[in-house]
Amino acid sequence: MQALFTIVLEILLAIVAGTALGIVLVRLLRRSRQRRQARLAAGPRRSLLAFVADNGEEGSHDLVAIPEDAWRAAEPHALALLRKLRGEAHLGLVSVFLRRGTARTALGQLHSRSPVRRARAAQVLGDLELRQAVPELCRLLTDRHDEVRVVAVRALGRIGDPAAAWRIIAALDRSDPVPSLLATHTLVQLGPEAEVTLSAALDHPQARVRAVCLDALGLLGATGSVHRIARVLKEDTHLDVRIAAAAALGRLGTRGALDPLTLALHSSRPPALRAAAAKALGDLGATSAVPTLTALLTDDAFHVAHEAAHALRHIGPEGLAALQESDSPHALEALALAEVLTERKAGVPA
Amino acid sequence: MLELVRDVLRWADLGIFVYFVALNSGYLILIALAGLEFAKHLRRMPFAGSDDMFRSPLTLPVSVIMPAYNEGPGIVAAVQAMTALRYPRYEIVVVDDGSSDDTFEQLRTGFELVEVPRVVPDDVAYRSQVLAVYVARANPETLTVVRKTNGGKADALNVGINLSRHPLICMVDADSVLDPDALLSVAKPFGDDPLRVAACGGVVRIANGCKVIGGRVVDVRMPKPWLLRIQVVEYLRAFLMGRTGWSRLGGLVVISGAFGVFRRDLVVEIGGLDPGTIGEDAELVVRLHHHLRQRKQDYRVIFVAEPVSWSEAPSSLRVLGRQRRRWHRGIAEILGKHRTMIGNPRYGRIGLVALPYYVVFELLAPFIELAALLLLPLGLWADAINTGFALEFVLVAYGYGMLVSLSALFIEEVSFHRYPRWSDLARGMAAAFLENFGYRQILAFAQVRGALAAVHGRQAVWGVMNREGFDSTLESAGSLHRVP
Amino acid sequence: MLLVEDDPDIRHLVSYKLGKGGLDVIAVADGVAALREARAHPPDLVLLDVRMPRLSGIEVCRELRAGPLTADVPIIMLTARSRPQDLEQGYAAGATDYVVKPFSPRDLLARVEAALARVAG
Repeated sequence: MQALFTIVLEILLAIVAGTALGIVLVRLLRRSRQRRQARLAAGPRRSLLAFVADNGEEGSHDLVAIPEDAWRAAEPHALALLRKLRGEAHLGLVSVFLRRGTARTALGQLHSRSPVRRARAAQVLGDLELRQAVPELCRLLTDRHDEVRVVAVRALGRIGDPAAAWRIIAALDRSDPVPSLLATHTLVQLGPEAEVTLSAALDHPQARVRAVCLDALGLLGATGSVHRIARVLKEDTHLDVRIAAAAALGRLGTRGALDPLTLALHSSRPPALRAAAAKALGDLGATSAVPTLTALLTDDAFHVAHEAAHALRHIGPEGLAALQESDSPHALEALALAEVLTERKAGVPA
Repeated sequence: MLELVRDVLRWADLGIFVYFVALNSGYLILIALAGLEFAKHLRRMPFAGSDDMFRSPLTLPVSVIMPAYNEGPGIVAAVQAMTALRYPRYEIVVVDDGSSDDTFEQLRTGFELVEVPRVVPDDVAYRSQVLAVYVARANPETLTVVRKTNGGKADALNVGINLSRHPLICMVDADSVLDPDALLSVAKPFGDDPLRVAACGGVVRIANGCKVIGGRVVDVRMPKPWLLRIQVVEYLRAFLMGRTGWSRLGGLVVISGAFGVFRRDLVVEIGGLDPGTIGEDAELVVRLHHHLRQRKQDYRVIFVAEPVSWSEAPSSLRVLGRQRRRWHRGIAEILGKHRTMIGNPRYGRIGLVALPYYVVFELLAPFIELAALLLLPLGLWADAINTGFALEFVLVAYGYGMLVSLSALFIEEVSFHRYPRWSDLARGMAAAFLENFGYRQILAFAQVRGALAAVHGRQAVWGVMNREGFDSTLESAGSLHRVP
Repeated sequence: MLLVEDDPDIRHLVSYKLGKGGLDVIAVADGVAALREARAHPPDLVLLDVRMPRLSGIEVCRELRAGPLTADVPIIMLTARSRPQDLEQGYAAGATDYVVKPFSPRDLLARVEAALARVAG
């Protein structure tokens, strides 16, 4: 027993000392590596900034000629710069990447066995906004790893090829779908040309798909789809989808949205939908909605009355006048907020 | 008779020894898991997409709820720092829980508050009275201050939840200093996995000794007093590593009230925080697990190791003891309240692994620690064990504990290396050693008292901590520029 | 002119670019330093990032407009967000013009020159 203890004790001491030494070694190694990387990257970073500042007109040869190890040290920095630029400077930098073969390597790595490599490659291709990578990236939308799928969606959004729209929509209809908000954001990035696909997807059997498409249509300002969206607001079987439809109509800001939204305020509808419709009318800014919203100020449902009051505030002078005549607490709240906001705008000195 | 006593003592001492080994091994496993998690996290940094999240107009907005009770000296700096976080859309709700000092006056002059009428919904019940609601003249939609009658921290948070308008709520302490990207990182899991993530906790580190400028930690240093240095190492081991390990195991049951984000709808569904318990933050998470497991819902509770929320730790032994007494009482109360979950396969890993672990290695640990202090000398005196055994017992038990702390420092050095100075590194290692002599034992005593208080069940109150506010505390640590 | 930007890449890039365009650029990394600098040496133009630590660009903008020396200085905001309400918030605070990130260096120089020309003319 005693002997065992002694041995254990000795081993323990050795491990403790080893760990302490390990901490010191790790720090020394990291520092020296960082110093080396910084030294390597310093030159390329200077050339990069100069190149970009000159709109990528001069110096691309120098950048292409940078030796591989120095470039690797500067690459994260170059990729970050890529994300912050547009116009000629962006194009110039992209062409440097292409000439260095970064895109080719990344396309190859999309097939890598490691999910980290696949995701990293997808990210690079997105940063480069490389259209010919779209089919490959679409394939990644069904990747086994969710993190790879997420990066692929983001990359597709950055590239902005509307042809990818239906593939992204399909990626929502899985047991383990891509996040809705991310998909919405990406679909919006694809631009107005995606509207046809989005509008067609409003008949999709999966509720999540319909909700995402509605959000995207609203943000895109797809005024051509007002009637289809109005139909969804009226007829859809899912409450969440109908709420999304109401919000989308509010964002579109066209006259055609007024009637369907007013209809959705009817007291037989679920309170959550009525609240969303009231809010949407405020976003719409339609003065003709004032009487309807005023009637809601005394509604029994908290959120309906609340949203109606703030919608009236959004509508402007006519709405504020209506609020002033009401003694509902929600009206008082909205009025007070409006007052503070106008004071701030007018720049009333403190 | 004497022989029997000796036998009992011998076996008890051996039992305690086995317990220590098991306790430290458990920790070592958690630390190893944390190491794996950090490696995974760091490899994914380049494509994590935080920038996209910051830019997207669709990123879920957050309501930051900051309860304050007698925080006058530091409150304005704290709120100001909170307004400078990198996050696309968020509001701050400060709840003044009937402070008797000038907390509200400071806020009113600091932010030009204007009183506004506000209809307070009762999504979650609260037992105090809302006196008035104010907004900042310059940012009426992003800063709200509520004055209410005193009702305790949980009650203050509940009022804050009612007044928050966004789908995510973030609870922070008034003395927390957040890294600029903290909110973005802690809200990110909700965007990446919106269907499952129910709550996400952030790591809390110790701010004492660090240089804070304009409500932001700009230079990370070890504090001067050894009492605080030991706590730094302890926080690394228990909070950073322990919770990351549990998060990886899918058994995270504690999210610090100093920095955690929750889905508002779920918190409302389970009725908000329980003003009757002391560890209301941890209780909320356990109740969330309880509720969601009962509904057989697929959900996740996540811990994010970086960036960081910095908190002021007690610098006197008396206040520290009081804090630990309160923490331990919280643990005891929560485990008592949710005892049906313990060992119950219906609650999955939470019921079968996490909670039993908490009972054996958290709740009981201080009792065993004190028992060892008593039984070991007793065994020696009664000649149940010989001096050699006792000595090596102590060395192995405490040496192993030290190894655990050192491993935590090692992982920290590999992954985050937040302490840039060599001298601080040496101090950390020394603290890992010193912790075993006195610190552990004194705290164990406080913890035992806390656990016993839970049995007696006295009224829950705010933990009193003599805060000086960051401004004055840190003057000694270096220059401090106040935001004009 | 005064450049206020917390991202070092953009700060270097913009000061390099504008410096080459013949402008005298002072670059600072946060709002507090910006206000101090602007009050000490009122610039001809301020290029201001909206999202910054300590003081947001909007607040700096409002402060500059309130100060007697800097009330009429043209202010161009750099922002990552282009929603109408974000832009509106900036204009309400007194911004003269906007450049949305990601940005084109050439476009930025053009806007800066246009703003300076307006003041001169």
